[in-house]
Amino acid sequence: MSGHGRERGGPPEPPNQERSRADEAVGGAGAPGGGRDRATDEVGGPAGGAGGTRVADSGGAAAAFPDTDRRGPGPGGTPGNPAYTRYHPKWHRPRIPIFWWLRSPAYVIFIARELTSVAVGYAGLLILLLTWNVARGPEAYGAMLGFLARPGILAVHAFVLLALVFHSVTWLNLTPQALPRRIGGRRIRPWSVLAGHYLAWLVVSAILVWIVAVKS
Amino acid sequence: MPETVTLTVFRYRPEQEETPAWQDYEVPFRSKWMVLDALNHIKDRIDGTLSYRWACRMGVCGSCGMMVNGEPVLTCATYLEDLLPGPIRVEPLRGFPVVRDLVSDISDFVAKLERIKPWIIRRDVRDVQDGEYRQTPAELDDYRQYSMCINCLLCYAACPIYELEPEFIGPAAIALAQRYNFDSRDQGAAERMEVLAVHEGVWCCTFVGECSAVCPKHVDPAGAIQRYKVAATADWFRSLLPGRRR
Repeated sequence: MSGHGRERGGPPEPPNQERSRADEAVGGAGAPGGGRDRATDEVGGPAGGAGGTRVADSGGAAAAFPDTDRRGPGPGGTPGNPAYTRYHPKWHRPRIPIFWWLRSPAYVIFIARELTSVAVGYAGLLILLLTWNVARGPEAYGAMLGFLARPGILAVHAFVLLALVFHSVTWLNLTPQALPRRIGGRRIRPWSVLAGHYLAWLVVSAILVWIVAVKS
Repeated sequence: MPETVTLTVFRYRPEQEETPAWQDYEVPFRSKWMVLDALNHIKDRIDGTLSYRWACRMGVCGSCGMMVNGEPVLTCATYLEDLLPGPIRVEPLRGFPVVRDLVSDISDFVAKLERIKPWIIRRDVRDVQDGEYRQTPAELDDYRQYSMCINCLLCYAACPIYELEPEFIGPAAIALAQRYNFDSRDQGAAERMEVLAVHEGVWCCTFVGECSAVCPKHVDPAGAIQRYKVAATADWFRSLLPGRRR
């Protein structure tokens, strides 16, 4: 099979036939390296291939698929001619658009969850900074509180709070899928995992509100 | 109900054209027809050159997965009725190279599936006369969900990570690894960990969760992957204990 398409001295073959035989040569499991390269070169001729026949509806195809990426190679690609992949010389590989995450609402929520983790990090840093200023003394702490009370900072922190709530809710909602289905021989129900997490969040928040609002 | 419905189908004929094209087909609308029935109508009555895969027509073989209106679905389980008024856009599964029309090449998945050793591995193989390896219903229940996978690869098409990082071993392969890891008869979890507890294993996954959302068999591959992350992390911490080696 590997010899097909490379016979010498025979009558010239019709272009399409030559192409299909060249494809076979590429697919030949026992094809030697040099032969393979030559075969792929034959296939990788001028755009449109040797056949030169095109169907009517392919006229506007380039405009319809501007993202087409034919650079390859995939698994088993041919290094000499990366536009074609060994055994599969004419694979179509769509290029991934940079706005792939706008394809579905679920992807948008995922990206938002990932991005709002920046707000989580920021909130953590802010608390560390507050603690550091408490240690520096009442004056430093008061100055920081004054800074935080500025309208611009308050507006930013209102946005950070929304981002934190969004991140927390979307994160907590994923927890039933991440925990083992069985702990100590007992089967864990998804709703109990959710209820436990939200209850813990509620209790911690209530303690914080009590400390801030009642004790101070 | 309309008389007809239009299917806008992805066409790619590598021997004829350099880039793919869309082709519209108008098919008669029948209540209870699936998208696959419409494709079969096109193939039989309108255009015999259209290529696609299908076999069982009842959601078991996993061959007829395609993108319909941008969602990965089994076309044999998707009613035309639910997609009215159309046009209905049909494309090959996302994330895989297209061989022709709606046919994608899935050999990347098959190679990855082999790597996770999807069979029962025993260190102590019993003789046949000793009988079968017995299992309680509770033990069966531990992995049964993951054994429902039909390799339809909708989860791969739904996973943006697989598209962005093709070395990712992917949702179905990891769910099938867990199918054996959770099997009480299996003793090969450590062997599979070498393949899975690495970046291109479970750690590529950022938990988008769409693999579980589109799974027609409710396998929950996202859950399988996250549970594997927990197991791999616990294994790593255990390896830090004195006297233990990874």
